[in-house]
Amino acid sequence: MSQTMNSSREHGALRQHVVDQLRDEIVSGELAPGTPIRTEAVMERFGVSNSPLREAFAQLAVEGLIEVYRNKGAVVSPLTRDGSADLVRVTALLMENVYAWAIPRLSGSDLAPVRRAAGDFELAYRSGDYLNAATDVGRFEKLVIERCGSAELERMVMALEPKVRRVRHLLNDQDSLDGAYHVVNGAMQAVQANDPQIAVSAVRAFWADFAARLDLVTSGFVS
Amino acid sequence: MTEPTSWLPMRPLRGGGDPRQALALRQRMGRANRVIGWVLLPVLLLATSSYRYAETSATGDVVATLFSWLLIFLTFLHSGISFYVFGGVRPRATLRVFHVYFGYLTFVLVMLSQSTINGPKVFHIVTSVLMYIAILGHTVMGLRYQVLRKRAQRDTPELVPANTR
Repeated sequence: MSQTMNSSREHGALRQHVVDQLRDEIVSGELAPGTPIRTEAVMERFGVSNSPLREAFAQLAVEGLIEVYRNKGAVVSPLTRDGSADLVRVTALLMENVYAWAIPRLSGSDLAPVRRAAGDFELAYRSGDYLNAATDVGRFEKLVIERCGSAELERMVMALEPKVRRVRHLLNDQDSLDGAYHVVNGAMQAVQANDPQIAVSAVRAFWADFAARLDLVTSGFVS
Repeated sequence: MTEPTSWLPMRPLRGGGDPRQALALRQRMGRANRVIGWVLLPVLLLATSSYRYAETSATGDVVATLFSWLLIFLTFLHSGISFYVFGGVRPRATLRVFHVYFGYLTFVLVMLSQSTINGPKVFHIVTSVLMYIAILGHTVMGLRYQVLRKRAQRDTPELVPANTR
């Protein structure tokens, strides 16, 4: 009984390891769009059997990072100009709602960790500690998403996350962090003024700027 | 356009001029200050160890004095820049805020310990012990943020600005 449980846990850990590793490589662009992922090569590299590999591929396909072809292995999903723009538009819409719904709910014990994350972000950002600022803004965003009060909205945002990370990687510059600073500041001012629209405007401006910069970067991509 | 008042822990940037330039300057200073902080550590060790040989030879005395002045200069520089970058952070129960105030306390203890070298021995020993404890605590917290930086670079590279990699 316990042997079965151990083996199943090991199987799950192996699958997760393959998923995490391949996801990182796809998001960072190490595995370029359209790159074939050969089943045998991955099995050999990670020392896994066919079963956890199939499950890992299935998970990455659900996340939209690869396309799986029966008996042919998988291919890293293409990154098109229109697809990226569409993803950003949808993400912007969802995030506007996340903030619009979360802000009125932020009070008392729900607000405290959000405020701490925002404070940590600002200290790191203003002192030029961009690496920790990036982590803190991620923590802040996650806390706000968790507090939007809609499990469905949270699921939709989280489902898009790997694809958004991939697109964000194309623009990992100072401007994104500067924009994040305005979102965090806007969100906390919205809490103080009890006016979610302040946060919504900041989020809208962030993603509009993001879309414009992405459009420049992807101008050479296939539509 | 005037910037809206920040609710955030740091005071709004003062001094007139373009707030974006003021922010960019603080960010550059903050990054340089972290390097100064790590340089301070070996200088502290060298200043402490050379002090033991100060009375054995004339050269030892010169070296000890040099390291001592270098330590005092770098401590003033590190603390001064910290105060310029962070200022009076609004108290909040986070490690980052604690790290800032603990740094200020460390500065006070370093100065206290250095100013009691020629005073009563007991007082100097007590302040020195407190200084070393404070430096150790401040360094451990700094080390933790360094580890977090490495982790951020590894786990969320898409959020990391390209100019910091």
